[in-house]
Amino acid sequence: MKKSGHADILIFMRLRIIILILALFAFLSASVGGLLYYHSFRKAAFQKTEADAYSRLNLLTDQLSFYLSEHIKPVKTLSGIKELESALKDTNLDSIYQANQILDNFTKSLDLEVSYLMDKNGITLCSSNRNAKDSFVGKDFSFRPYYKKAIKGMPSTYLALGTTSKKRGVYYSHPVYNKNNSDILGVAVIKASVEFVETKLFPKSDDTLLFVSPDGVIFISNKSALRFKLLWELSEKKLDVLTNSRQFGNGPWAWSGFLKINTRDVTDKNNTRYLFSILNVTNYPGWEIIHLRNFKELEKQVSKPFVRVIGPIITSVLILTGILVLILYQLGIQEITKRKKAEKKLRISEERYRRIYHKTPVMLHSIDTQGKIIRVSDHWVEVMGYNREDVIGKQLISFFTPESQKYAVDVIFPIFFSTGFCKDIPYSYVKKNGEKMDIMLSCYGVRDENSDIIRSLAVSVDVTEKNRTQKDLQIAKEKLSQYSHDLEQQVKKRTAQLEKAQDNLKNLSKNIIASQEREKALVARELHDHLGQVLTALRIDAVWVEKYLATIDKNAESRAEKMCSLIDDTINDVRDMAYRLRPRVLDDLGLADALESLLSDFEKRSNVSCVFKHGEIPKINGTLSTALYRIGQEAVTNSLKHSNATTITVELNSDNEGIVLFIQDNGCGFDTDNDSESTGFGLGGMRERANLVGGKLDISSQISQGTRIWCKVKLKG
Amino acid sequence: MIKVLLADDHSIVREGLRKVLEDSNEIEVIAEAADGETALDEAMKKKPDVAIIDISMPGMDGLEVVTRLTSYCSDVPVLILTMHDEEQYVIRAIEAGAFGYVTKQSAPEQLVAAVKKINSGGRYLTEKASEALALRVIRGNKNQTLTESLSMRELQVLRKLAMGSTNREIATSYNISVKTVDTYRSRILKKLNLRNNAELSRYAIQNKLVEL
Repeated sequence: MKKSGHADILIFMRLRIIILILALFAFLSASVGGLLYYHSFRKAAFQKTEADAYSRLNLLTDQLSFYLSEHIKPVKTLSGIKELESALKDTNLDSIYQANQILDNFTKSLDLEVSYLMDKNGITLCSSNRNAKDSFVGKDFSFRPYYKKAIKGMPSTYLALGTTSKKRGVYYSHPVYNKNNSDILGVAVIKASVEFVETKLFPKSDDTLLFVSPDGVIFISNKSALRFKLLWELSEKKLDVLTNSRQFGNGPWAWSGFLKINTRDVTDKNNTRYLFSILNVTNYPGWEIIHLRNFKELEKQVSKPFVRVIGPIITSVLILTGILVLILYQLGIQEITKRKKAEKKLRISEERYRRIYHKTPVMLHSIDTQGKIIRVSDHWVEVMGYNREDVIGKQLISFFTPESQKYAVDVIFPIFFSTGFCKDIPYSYVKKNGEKMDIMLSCYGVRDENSDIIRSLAVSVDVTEKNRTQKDLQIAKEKLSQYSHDLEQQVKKRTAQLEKAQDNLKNLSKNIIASQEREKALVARELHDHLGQVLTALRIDAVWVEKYLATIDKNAESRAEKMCSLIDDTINDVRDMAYRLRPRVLDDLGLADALESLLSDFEKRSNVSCVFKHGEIPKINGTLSTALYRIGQEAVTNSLKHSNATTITVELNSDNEGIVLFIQDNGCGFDTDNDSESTGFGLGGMRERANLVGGKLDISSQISQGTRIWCKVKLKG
Repeated sequence: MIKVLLADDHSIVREGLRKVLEDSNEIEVIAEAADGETALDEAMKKKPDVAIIDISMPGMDGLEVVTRLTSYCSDVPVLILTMHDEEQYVIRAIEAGAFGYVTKQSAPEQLVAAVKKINSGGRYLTEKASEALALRVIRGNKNQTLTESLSMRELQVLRKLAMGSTNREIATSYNISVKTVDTYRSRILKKLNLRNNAELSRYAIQNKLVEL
């Protein structure tokens, strides 16, 4: 449990880190996106700025060109004026005066710095500043290129620092011809100040605008400190050339400190970075206008609107991202907590299951599809005497006896892995101590989502003791069965003996009754046939005597009559005796007639109404008819003696099964449960007689409900 | 002279009876027999006018003799002579074909009359015997369910009452008390669901228990 808890915490931590990384990543993405956007924006801004600068530079160039070529035409005009030709051709005070007037006029009207006239040799003849301290008159400017070109017939412009005035200016020169235009007499020059151009076209600003000579000398700049500085470092040789040209005075020219990194970037000595643009000026070969912009300033300028516009968006996006991440993080935490709770629950239930599995005192085990044990309960290892390590991973059948192994592999495993269920399989385990243990195994298959059995869960119940008990019980049962058999035999033997004895007794009883009947019959016959006949004969004679004496002796006749009457009585007595002993009608006419006669006799001697009914009766033997007659006699006698009945009905019938004698009275009845009454009244005798002829006697009677007696005798054949 | 056959297994009785018959001077005993076979042979041989036969004899008994004789030679009427006075014998004898029935006890008084009557073509039955026969006939009729429920004595009393006998007369004739006769009468009325003697008489006539 601890281990898994630890693992949980680890997982939790990892998840947290993942979320954090995700958050960071999201933040980073936003930032990088912002940055990229910023960069592209800046690039676009830069490009735009650059384009702006370029077009500005172009405009500046055009303007500068325009300004610089402003006086080309006036100098031409000036050179064509005849007073200047005159002054050169005919040098005198008047002609010089005239020429000076013209020059003054030009200078004044065109707002020039100075305008002057040089002779053939380059010596200034006339000048508008002839009265100034630094008057050019008499000065030799033949070294100037504009003179050299003009004297050869080529008008020119030249930018230079005045050697006398120490002022920067644009020099326009034009040759002065004679009337025929055949000879160059001298050169007319106009010098225009560049101060105006500088103030007009190079306004003070953060940017640096430079007008640089082909040698790299900064001629015009909106930063005054940079004037006449060298833009790039120059070699000694080039410096010498520059010095000799005296174009920009005598020098020296300090290096501005600018260093070109690439075509676009320049740094100054303070390592400040500048954006660099350059453009040539038309008509002034080698001259360039250079525009330097402070990179930082530019950046600031570019970034400012971006920061102002995009900043809040980026910030809000970042904040939103942050909030989103926070929410996600919270959600994640919640989910994790939930999951942790569920996991805890699951763990608890699993723990409970595991505890139940292990602690329940039954033998549980699980095997995989290869038949290897993957789990066993504590009770299992305890009972089997193994250590858990000895068992896990082993084949289950290795703990079986060889017979069980065969049974399992051949029969049970195939069944189980197809049905996933089996119940009460009798196996035998072998414990570690070698002891054999009979078990009943029931198991079911745990299935995966594809319904394939992946493992089993099996319960083994120790039935060794039960089997032993069963065996003992079986033995005991067999023994008991033997005893019981013996006993039965003995009982049978005894029963047979008893039956024999009973039969003997029955036979004896039968014989007694039979001999009794025989005796009775004999006596009755003797009485009836012998004594009766004798008496009859005697009576005949007596009657004869009586008749004979009637005419002779009345006295004797009366005696004879008395004798006759006595003989009659005796005959009646004898007949009654014989009848009671055994009625001849039973032997002569059969049972039905005998019973009828009996009942009519009873009726005569009592006030009870006796009814006899009978159906067709098959011929029956004397013993049976005697028995039935005696039963009927006994029953009716009892009824007459004890029941106070007013009607007695006797029925004799036969059916397929045999003969039924039924006697019924409407008398007081008796309690059949009362033994003394049941066995009394000769009922015992009746039963015995019925039994002796193989019949059955049923008596049904209740107090004041009359009595009914059935005697049923089955007839053989 | 009426020729008779006398069959009885007791010689003393036979001798006495012969005396009784011959004393009449109208009857001649032409043959005697001591058992059934002899009686049958003699009857066939000698063709008596009347055969007087004891019902119980060794060998073939009297009833058997009557049965055979009536089938073999129906012109010899049989008079049954018997020691028994049970009605069952009378009925059997008549059923077998006998023409008369006399007990040995009453032979001195009745035998001659009986022989004469049979010889003249009639039947001889004592009152008791004829009554028994009548009852048997009635009982033999299965439709008479109500009558069937009566006992023999009740039937006797019923007949007497129907014919107009008084209780006292009935008591005397059956040798029973007058009170007993009255008991029988009330029992009969109850059983047959009748109210008085007049209804009782009508019932008896309707059911042919008596002849007018």
